[in-house]
Amino acid sequence: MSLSVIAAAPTIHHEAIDWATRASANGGTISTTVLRAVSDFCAAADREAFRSAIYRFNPFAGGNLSGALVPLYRGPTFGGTTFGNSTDTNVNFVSADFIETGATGGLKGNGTNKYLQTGFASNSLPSATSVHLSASATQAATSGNPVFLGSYNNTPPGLLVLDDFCSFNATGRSYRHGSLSVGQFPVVSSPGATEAHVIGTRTAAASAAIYRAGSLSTTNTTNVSTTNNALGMFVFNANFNGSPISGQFSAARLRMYSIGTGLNATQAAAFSAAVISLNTALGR
Amino acid sequence: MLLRDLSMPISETEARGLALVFSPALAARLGQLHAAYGSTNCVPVPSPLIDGRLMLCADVLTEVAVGGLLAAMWGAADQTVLGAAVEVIAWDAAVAMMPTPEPMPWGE
Repeated sequence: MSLSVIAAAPTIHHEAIDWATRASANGGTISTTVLRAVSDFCAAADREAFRSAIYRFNPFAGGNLSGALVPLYRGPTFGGTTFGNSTDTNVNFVSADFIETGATGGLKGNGTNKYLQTGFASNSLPSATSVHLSASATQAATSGNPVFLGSYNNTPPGLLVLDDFCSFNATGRSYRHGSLSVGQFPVVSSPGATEAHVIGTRTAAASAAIYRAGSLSTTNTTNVSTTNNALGMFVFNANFNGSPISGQFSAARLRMYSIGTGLNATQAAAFSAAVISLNTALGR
Repeated sequence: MLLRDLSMPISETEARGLALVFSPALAARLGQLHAAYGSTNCVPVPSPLIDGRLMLCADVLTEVAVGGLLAAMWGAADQTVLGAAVEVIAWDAAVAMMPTPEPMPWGE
């Protein structure tokens, strides 16, 4: 093989290789297409400088349910401190709930008793004023109070939630960060059932926003005090003092989730573009 | 209908329409079996019903065949006891027996 051919051969990002190794060890099967797509996402995260804002990212890939439980990122830097469970703990999902590729791709909740335990506590983040949660979903809710991911703590008061749908305070898809009864609650009214990528983020004490598909959708500038908590976040529900909340299970089909520090508009746009590219590469 | 009356293997479609209902004592035994033979890749956690029993969606039965995520746990269980102790009812009927969610402190 000539040197020019070797130089032209596509390389796989080291974090994608690391993920594929862990996903395979957990029982997943990694196709070339998926490995390439995840590698391209990792390259974009580095190139567009949003990698360090992502503490946990699960692309819901890996060939089967066991592979889909393995997060790509578990900390803000490769080789650095990791946070949360090495794999998401699956509560009540079965293999048929996961489809890796295609228009129906993702992990499907049932709105009744299925959720994931990440083990990632919001107090793993450096500050309560620099936070983001994100998800990509189809079959999202248009009523009720289901939650994409998050945690609530009573004492000290700490609330960090990205709602599938919220019927409290305002109605719609919401990002909530504050205490149990008051907080920064930007809300998107009539959001519809598909989210290419929705980010809820707080970037300063008096600045919270929701970005959808990379564009700013709504903001909230209420300044509230809150405390990040030690509860491991749940996905498809929220961890409320250690348990999921009855009546707030999401029935959406999630295509990824992330947890990390606050994202500015440039980072949000680049992150969403990379997530959408990843999903497009997987046909979903 | 009891679990022993169910034809196995069960299809995903049929399983999703059914719920497995059992006592807290049996749930504790199943928890022990999962601790010994299961993994975090599939943790069946039953939901409480208003009559004191617990329920799981019957789709967990799609994981008990060889190669399934619950195969080892299933293989270690006493099939005769399980078959006689687990009631199978319609999923919608089981969901209707779940407690009404407690109002949350913030008024939801």
